[in-house]
Amino acid sequence: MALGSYGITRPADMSPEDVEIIMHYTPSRDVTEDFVLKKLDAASILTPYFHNEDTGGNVNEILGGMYNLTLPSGEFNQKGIYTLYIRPAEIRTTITDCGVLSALPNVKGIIIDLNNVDAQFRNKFVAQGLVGFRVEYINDDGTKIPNFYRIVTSSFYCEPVTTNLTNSSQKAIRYRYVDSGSDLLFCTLSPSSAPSNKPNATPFIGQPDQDIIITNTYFNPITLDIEMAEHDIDTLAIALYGNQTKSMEDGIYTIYDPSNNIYKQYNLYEIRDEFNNLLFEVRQDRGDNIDFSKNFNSVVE
Amino acid sequence: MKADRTYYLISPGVLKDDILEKTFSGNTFGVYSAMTEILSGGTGGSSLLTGLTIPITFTQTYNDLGYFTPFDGYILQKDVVNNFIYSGSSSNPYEVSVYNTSEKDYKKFLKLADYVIDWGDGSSTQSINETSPNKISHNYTFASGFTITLTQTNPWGTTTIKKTVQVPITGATIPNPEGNITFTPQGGSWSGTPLNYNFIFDGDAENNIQSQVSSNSVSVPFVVSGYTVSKISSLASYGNVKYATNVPIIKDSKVFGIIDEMTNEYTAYTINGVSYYDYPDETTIYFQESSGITENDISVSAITKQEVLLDMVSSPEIQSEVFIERGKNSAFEGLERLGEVDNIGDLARYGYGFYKINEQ
Repeated sequence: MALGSYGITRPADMSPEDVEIIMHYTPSRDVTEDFVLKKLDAASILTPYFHNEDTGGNVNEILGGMYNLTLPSGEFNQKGIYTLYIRPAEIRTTITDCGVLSALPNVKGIIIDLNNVDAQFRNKFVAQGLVGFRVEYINDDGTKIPNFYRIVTSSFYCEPVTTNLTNSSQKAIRYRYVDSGSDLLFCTLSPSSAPSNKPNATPFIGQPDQDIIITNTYFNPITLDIEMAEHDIDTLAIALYGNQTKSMEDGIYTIYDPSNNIYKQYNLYEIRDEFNNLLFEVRQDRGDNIDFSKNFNSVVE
Repeated sequence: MKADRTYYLISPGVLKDDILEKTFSGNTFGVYSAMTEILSGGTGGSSLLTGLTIPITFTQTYNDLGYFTPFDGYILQKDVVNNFIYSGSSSNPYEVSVYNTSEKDYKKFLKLADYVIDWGDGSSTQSINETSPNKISHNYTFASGFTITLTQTNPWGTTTIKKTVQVPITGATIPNPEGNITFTPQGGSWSGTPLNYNFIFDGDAENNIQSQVSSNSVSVPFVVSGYTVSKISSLASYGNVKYATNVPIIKDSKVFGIIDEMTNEYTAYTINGVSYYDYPDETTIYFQESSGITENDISVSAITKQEVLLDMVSSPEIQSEVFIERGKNSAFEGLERLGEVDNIGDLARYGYGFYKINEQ
């Protein structure tokens, strides 16, 4: 018996096609009913980083773990809170049949017809291509069976063979593996064998014609909370600690960032009553009506 | 799987696009726009933030799916004690060839087995010594469906496999692809009682070694070299001359090594086919040629998963605070001490039967 430990987290290197991105938008934290929920095209906005000469690998080798996510301007065009839920892509299909292997009747599995699989995911449905994928099940009423899943332990092309059974009232076919040339895939699931204390109980692996969701497990789901805001700590620091000028002639008050770019410009003036008593001192945002003559270099020259 | 959550704040302070470049009186400077204007300042009120990207990271929490065993049938179905395939040709439609595909090389006990074939047409039975890829052929004299029976007899019982062939052979149709196997035990409670089972179809899978391996070898060997410590002391001889060139050192009746050359610059010697060079500065370099993983290193095994062992450790872990001091260690004692216990058998032998083990 050896003592040791090993890590179980690795940088993911999946293809963007294996990713699904759900966007949720709400204009503010307290607006929870009027929200936008939609799916974004992960293949077009998610890009993996590749090695370069400074990172140790060759330029064709994916860096692993690190991706660049584009926030499309057509979606991220409002101030507010965008929540991106990034999870493995879901493949929706139907169980064609549940059967056993002709040669080994104790090996049970589900049979999937490739014609019922979305073309973009069909490249996964090859021999051993679905190993590790998760299968979740949909009820007849469209609800999903919660907290329930099976794991694909093997997947091979198969074709049906007829079997002579003592019960002639039922049509029973079994499946045998073939190397290629079949539209059917036989997937064994875990668990699918009966527990030793109840050998006649077969674990549920699905029903023929049942809708299922097949999901890769190439990476862990993540959530990004992206807030489009007017201010952050840096801009507040500009307002507090940045260079400032006040024009005594026209009362224009200008705030500059560390590079002396104009960050904000205000009109400063006073409001007095008819007796020349001071009622208000006003600082009014000039918005985009910037007086460029108040650029810092021109002022201090 | 845990879902990580990360917060990003996008505001004018982090946006390069937010700063518009202006020139006044020869001075070039930037002017910030408000975020609201940035998000709606484009054509038709569209956002100006067309290049907004963020780097994100993904990780995968993984578990090994389990032990790799010849379990799920992709190879087991070919691991048989008795099976055959047959073939024919439309050019000679009354001749049927049979290939005995029993795994006589894989199952050593099958060396004891005799194989007899009954062609099913009333002709006398025929012993088979050939195994696939060699074949035996038979000519039928009339058209019919014939049941070919291959019987294998070994000290533990008799196994028969039957398949039906339609003569004359016109195509590739196999009436009963599975065939039927009958096993009649020679002893025990079931002695003499035939047990039937629809047998494995011979075409269930490709199981040649080419299907199971990838090419990890090269035709031209490459050099594997590195530094090590001197091993010349293992080539020392008895007598006055401890080290001599070109004198083979024999161990276990085989040539273990030889000193090839001794010069002032280096000492060259070979041990078990690996060349070593010892240098005066006490460095030692070795050279060996490799061709990668060759067929000599490969044994056929399926890459399938044994479900019952998924994510489990097969050897039990023994955790105990109990320690029994039992005196001096004797080579003749058939029991185990605590540090030596790492499986059920050791547990049963631990400490004069300290643990009571019941079989179920």
